[in-house]
Amino acid sequence: MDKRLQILESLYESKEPQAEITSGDPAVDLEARVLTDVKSLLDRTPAVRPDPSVIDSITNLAANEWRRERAPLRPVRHARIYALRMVAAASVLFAVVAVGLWQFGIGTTADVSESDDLVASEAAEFTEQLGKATESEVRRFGSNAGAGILADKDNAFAVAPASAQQDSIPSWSDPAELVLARKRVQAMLQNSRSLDWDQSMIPLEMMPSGSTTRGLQQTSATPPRQ
Amino acid sequence: MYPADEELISSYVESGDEQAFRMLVERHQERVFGYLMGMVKDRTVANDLFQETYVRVIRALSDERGSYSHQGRWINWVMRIARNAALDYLRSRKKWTDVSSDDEEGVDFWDRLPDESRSADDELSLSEDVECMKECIDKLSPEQREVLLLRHESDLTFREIAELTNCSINTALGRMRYALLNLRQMMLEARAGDNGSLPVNVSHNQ
Repeated sequence: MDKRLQILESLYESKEPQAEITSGDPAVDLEARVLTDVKSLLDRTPAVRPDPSVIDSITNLAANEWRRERAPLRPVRHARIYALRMVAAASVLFAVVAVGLWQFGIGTTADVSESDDLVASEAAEFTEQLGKATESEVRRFGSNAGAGILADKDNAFAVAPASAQQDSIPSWSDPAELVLARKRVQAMLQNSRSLDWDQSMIPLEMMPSGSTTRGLQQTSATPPRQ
Repeated sequence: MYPADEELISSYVESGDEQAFRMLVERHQERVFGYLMGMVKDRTVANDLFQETYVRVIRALSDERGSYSHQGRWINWVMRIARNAALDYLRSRKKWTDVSSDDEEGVDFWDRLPDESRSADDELSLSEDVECMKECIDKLSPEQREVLLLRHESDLTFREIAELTNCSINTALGRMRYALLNLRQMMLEARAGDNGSLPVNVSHNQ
């Protein structure tokens, strides 16, 4: 920076009061004294202020402007904040409900329906097999033994002689016969000790026959009922 | 306790404290008004421009997009608005011509203008020396006069003046130097009969 500008800068922006500025160059020193004199005269110039009424009007304007611009914004801003809060709360509630349903509701229902489907299919298969087996066994007993009695602890089914056995074969369209057959199946299932889902069916002739109340009995030991 | 400018601004902007804003205006009134007064040389116009300056300030503070963001530089921001208001006025009166920043020399701009500073100077009831000085200040070139006003009336640093007037610090310092030297020369010429010859031979025409 030029030496003359440095003098001016130090004259105005030095924080400490300076003594006479000297640079070694007489012309520069002379200019420094001139600048200092003019600055001193300018510093003695009284400050000027605006009219007090101007300050009052500015203050009133500031107050009015703030009320006009800011006050109407507040309800809008508060309403916006309130709406955002409500949306956020609803979102959280929806998320909680959705997670809850997913964890407990929908999963359980799916499991139950799935297990129900499995049980139903297995039961249908079992019923079908059991129905075939029962029918074939009945026919076989009817043709071979001619007559037999399928005794039960609670219910006893008399197997009619061969001629009558054909007539006693239930007609599956008859509800009464269907109920009767169902009872027979239930009785057979109850009397089957180890008939579980995972085991194959045990033919009736393989079941123990020593008891008077379980399994097949010899036709010679038990006279046919009339 | 002397609240800082930023505290007063916050009090007004956030809670509408008009007294805080009034305190802010009064604190810097001499710096702003002194500059405006020196620029327009008319107290009535200076009052109007002072109010116009703060109208713009208030609107800028109210506008969220253009709010005050120069933390710690409130007066610089206000001075920029005041300068724009003054230049707008001078341009509207067609009394201000755009002069290149490098064009420090040439015909004195104020020689082409009618002298309307008498009434303002009379209102101020200044001493003879000060009166003479103000007349001489009015005859300075616009750039020199503006730097002188910003430095003496508004108490801005040369760096702040350079930022405000979009020039380098050296340019601002150079303008100030020639403003002082020309002022001295004009005052001596005005009192030529009393003081005799010039004490120093310096260039005054830049």
